[in-house]
Amino acid sequence: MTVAKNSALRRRGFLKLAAGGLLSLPLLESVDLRGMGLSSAGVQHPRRLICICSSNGQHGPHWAPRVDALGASFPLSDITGDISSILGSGFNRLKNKMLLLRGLDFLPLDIDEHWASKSMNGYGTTYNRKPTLDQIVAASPGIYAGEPTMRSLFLMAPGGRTGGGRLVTSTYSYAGQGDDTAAILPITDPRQAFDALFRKGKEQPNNPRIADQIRKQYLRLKSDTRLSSLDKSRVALHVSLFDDLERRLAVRASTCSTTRTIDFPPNEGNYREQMRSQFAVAALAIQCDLTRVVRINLGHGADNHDFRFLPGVLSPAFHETTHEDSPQALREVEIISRCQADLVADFLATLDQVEDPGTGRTFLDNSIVYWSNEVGTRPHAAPANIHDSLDMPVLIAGDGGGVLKTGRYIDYRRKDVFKRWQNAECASGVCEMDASHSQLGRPYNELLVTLLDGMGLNRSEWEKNPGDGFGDYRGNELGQYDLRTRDALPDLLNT
Amino acid sequence: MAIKLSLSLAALMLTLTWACGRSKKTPAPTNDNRTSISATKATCPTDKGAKTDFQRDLRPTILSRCATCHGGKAPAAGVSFEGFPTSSIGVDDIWEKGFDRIVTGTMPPGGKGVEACFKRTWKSWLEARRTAFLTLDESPSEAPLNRLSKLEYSNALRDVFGTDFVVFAAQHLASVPNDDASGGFQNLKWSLGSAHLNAYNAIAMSAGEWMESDPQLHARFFPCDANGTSTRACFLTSLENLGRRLFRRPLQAGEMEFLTGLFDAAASPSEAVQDALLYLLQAPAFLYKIETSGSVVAYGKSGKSLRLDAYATAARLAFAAWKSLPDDQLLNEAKNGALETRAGYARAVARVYADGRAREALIGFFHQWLQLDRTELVSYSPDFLDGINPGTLAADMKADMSAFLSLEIFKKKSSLETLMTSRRVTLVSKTMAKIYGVPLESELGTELILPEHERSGLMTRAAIVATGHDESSPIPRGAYLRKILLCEELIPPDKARFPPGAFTPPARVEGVSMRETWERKTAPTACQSCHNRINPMGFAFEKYDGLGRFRTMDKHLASHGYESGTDIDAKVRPNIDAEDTGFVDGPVELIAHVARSQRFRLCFASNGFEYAMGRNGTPSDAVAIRKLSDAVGRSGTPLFEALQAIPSFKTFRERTLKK
Repeated sequence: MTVAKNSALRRRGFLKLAAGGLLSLPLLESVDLRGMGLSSAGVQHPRRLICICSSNGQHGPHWAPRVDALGASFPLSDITGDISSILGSGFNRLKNKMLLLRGLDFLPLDIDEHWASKSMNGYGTTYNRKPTLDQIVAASPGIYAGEPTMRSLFLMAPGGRTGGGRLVTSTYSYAGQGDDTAAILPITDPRQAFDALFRKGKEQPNNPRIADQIRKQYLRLKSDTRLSSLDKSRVALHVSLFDDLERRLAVRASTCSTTRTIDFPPNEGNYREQMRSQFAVAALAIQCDLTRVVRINLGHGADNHDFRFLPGVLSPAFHETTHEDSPQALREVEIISRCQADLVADFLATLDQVEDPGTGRTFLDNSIVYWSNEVGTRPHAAPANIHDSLDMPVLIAGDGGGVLKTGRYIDYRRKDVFKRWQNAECASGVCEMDASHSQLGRPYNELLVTLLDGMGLNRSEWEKNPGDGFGDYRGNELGQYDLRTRDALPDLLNT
Repeated sequence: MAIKLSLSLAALMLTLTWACGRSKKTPAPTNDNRTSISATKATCPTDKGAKTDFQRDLRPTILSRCATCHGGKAPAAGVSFEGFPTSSIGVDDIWEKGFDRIVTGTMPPGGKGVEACFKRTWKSWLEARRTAFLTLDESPSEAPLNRLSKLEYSNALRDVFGTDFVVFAAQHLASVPNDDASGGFQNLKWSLGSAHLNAYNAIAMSAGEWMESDPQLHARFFPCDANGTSTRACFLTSLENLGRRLFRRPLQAGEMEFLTGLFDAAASPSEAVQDALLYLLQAPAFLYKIETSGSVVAYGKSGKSLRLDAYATAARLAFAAWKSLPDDQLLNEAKNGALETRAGYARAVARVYADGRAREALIGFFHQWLQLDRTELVSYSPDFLDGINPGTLAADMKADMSAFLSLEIFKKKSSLETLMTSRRVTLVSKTMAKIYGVPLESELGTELILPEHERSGLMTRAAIVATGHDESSPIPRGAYLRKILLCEELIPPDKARFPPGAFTPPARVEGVSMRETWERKTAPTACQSCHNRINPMGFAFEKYDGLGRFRTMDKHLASHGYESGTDIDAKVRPNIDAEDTGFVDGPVELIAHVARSQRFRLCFASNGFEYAMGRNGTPSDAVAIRKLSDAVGRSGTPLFEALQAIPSFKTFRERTLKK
């Protein structure tokens, strides 16, 4: 986490300007476009990263077109009508702004099936705490021209997997370096997320004198010679977050406008209502430029939300349904997945409706929206989820300010090259499997490198040594995947 | 003819001489038909009766037989045998575990086995190592900086401001994120996000708002003047006392100066109170357990450690026993030096553990250790529930567990072994009566004894054995039991090494029991390295259905109703200790076996230690944990009493300095 120099002076000056009492927070019909004090001067196309994470995988025939079109690459606009039964009409007018990718395989050893941050840091090992994509980008000095209101925003629907344990902690983001990272937890109440961004209500900024004293005490603690370097990094994180808090308290977000209002669900509402609110808060935060890094989880690891509010869904537990071997279960998985996809489509449409001021492009255009999953795409037969991490379902929207070549369906599986399996039951190491899992794809790591490159980060910000790549590359004992260079996916980035 | 005979005799003599000479040099073949590295060498080192030397007698074979997989840059399962063992033996000691694996045949993979000499040498070395370990002194350990856990934070506010404030701030308290429990207990793993800072700020503001909302509340904390106007000196004294409670130490000069400045600059006492609380409740001295004050002391031959000062010790004692701040009495004892004397410290420990908050915290330990929140995830079919209300099931099961723990630990003062084997139950609801098979007309709150062959202590309570759905799930149950009782972390398998479909759950077939279904599924050698440990636990517990009800038949619920079932075979070989060759039949015998094992006591002690200390154990803690294991395992010693040994450990009062 970086802390800008001279932030104390800048903060005091800003607070003086902002003095004048609280402004109530209308939803948000008038006024100027940009959040106060957050200048993007010098950055014509501010890039934004929005990571959407799903759970329980996708069922191939529901998810992507032409599952047998191995190795194919064609414009999404070639598909007439809906892309698939899950990627429905909400995506149709965004086809030229999307990338639908197949054939990306997770390499790591010890793949822990339901590990909801797997697609965020490229590690599958149980209890891994490696830094996640959103936090690496949020900490990059190139992302924000000035001091952001919130360096990153992490949202999720409440419920769906209670009881702690790794399925909950697997959903966290991690900030820091190596294994000494801090877990960043999601905000599960959309009202709380909104308040955190806009400080609606009676709250006022901390008395500057108090804020300064608190800050000084943390800095003094950080300089205690009896603290280890790990302890000091923890204190540094607290200081950074405290500074973010002060900025949020000071920002008068009523200067931001939006074309949509947020209807928070009454009481707790159902899953769809909660997630709609979360997506709405995220869109608002992006459009008001209060943050440029968002992560939205559609559920915990092995998400077990109750979707019986959807017609046709009888099972109370999403995750259990994905493991059931029956036509009814498969149908229910399709309905639920479609519901989640529609939420994503609405969100993309919201971002695409509003111009990113001064750029001539929309907020979607200037973002990279990365929708991933914690397990792979299940080929043909039921059940929908078999816990592997092959052919991970990925949809990207937005071109990050022109850095990505969008509008395509790309299948990285190689038609005539098969995976080899290291077990005695496959003669000469080659097994017959369902199509889409037997053909060799590309390492998922390459996608993660692509996203980091696309967000404009220097590789030294996330690569310990040049050529290390990103994530875990260890699951290649049979030498199937070409890892001579641990680089980005070919032909996705505009160079 | 004579010459020919002589020559023949000579040739015969030469041949005999040559043959006998060779037979002296070539050892007789062994009966062991395994591939042997040392079989061609001289007798096994242990046969000589000399002390086993790790470097000379054991390491070469370990390197050649184990380190090919468990070595290098990416050792299998993250375990490397290329290094050297330490003198400390922790609960997850790889040398002990490695020995277990080769004796039970789990390793090497493929059922290849190892030669008898290797096993004997390893065993001999371990025995000597264990003996030496028992003579080691305790050592201090690291103490990473961590913030108050959500529970500690909430308890701190409760104890300083009162439960009425906790009620007032309930909405903000709910917005404090739940702690990362992946380290075993809440907040052993570091986590911090903007949501924490938001919540802390909101609660700090609401504290001031609350305190100033009612003159009586104000007077409770600032009892200076009946007329409502506080004298400056009195007010500042009250602030100082509040600060001392929240910071767990006297305020430093600079801090008091700042608070004085706030008071002087405020437009009113009310504003001063609100400003002071904004500061006190967001300061690092409140939110973090800062343990850098004390005196440097020599440790070992050349080491140095920090002996915590009295205030830091008081804080540790309160957090260990109460999961809350020290009270005024503890702080006074820190101030007057009572905690620095053996008798004074002992009295303080006794008082702290006699407090009701210590009981609450201990019940909380069990809830976290046993992961009782898993009970909230339920999806039973109505037929299976047979009239039981699923909406209250989780709450009932937790209440049943809490009642059991209170009865055994505090009322009956049971030892750990009794806790694990007691058949007592306090009926908390009709639901639990149904699950335990107790007559529904039994009065709630009464203490009953469950049938001998059906239940045995803690691990056979419904909250533990219920799976959350209609099926009994022996594999997840078995893995859970091994993790909880024996601290075994089972590493997920590398799927690339298995054929397609290896991880697809097997379909149930009529007439085939759950046990048999899974025995077939996990029969391949590649599966057995884990499943020969998981399966016995799970199969023994097949005596409980998915709801935790005792049963003797395994009935497979098909969509049209129950099918006729199969008798449950719950006889298993536990595979807990290396020399575990006997069988147990059912959960009661299994748990009795576990309760007697050293591994279980060590695992329990390790968990109890981590919970109390608020951090993960390190190799430096091995001796302390061993002592605690001895204490909790002592026959007849009440468990609650045994756990009070923790504040007496060196690692409790000292810590290592930074690296």
